[in-house]
Amino acid sequence: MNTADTPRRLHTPLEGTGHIPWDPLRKIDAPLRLHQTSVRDEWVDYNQHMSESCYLLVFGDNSDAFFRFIGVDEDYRDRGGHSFYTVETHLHNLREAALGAPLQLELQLLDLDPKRMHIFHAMRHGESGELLATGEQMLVHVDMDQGRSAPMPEDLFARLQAILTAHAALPRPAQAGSSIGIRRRADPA
Amino acid sequence: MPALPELLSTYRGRVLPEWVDYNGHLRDAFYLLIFSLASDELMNQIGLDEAGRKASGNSLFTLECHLNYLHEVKQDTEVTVRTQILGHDSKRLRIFHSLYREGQGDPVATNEQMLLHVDMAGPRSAPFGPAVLERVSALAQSHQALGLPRHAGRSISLPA
Repeated sequence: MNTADTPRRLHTPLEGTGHIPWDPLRKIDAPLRLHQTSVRDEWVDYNQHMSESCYLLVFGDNSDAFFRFIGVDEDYRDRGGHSFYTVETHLHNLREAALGAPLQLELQLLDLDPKRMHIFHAMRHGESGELLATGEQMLVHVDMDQGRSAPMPEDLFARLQAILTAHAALPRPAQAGSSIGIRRRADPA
Repeated sequence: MPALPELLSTYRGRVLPEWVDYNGHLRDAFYLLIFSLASDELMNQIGLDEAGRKASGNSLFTLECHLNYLHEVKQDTEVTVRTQILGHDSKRLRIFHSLYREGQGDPVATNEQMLLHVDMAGPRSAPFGPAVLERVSALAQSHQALGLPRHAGRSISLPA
């Protein structure tokens, strides 16, 4: 897997796999379930539980699966010179994930404009379905040469609008839109 | 005017090759790795170092965190993290990390975290021990003069 120019760079699971051809007639799942994995050796701490930054690593792989679902792959990036950059992320760690645990990822599109998408990842235990962690993100479509945000091409934006419509019936996740603060009344101690 | 209190210095290191993407830029998850290492160092500085954790059976668990990515960071860049204590109660600690390119004044990323003090035997939430609480209170009080950082307390939404 390693290449000569970047001998130690970590590779992502879907790297080089291209995109999934878009079928406008296909029913869009709500939420999308595009990525499964299990907790790997190199992700766990001394306690055999997944370490914090690796939850975000897995959410990143879920985003990558989503990008390929909407047609954004290496070719889109390298030939088109455009990509999505994460500008903001909010994570909730709800349950620990032990070494080897199966993980099922879900993705819900919360909101959209021509340059941005607001997405929500849920990580569930692959067997019990228990919610382990959530990740809310704002992604910006970027012209990489100019180094600035740029509107998405029409076909891409239309796909995302179709997904937003399909996801409109989903309840808003409890963790979405939260901000961090100590709410003293909530803590009886 | 009294001098502003200094932030805690909690990380210093180089962006490693295994942390970057195809383009040589630090990947999202590895910003958080750096911030997690900074939280470990913060634990050392408030008396929850490895020896303290073993003796007490207590540790800190991150309940929730918020990241703002402000600039790209290239492989081999020397970076530092400085940390502000934003608040606490008897068992929770609200902190704010800022990541800088060594020697530069504007952060390249920020990370707000809510940490819960836990008794690992449960695991269940547990009040801070007296020595840790005293240290945390003193830091929170001193850092109050710095005010709330621009990216603290944010929630995510599209611009109106």
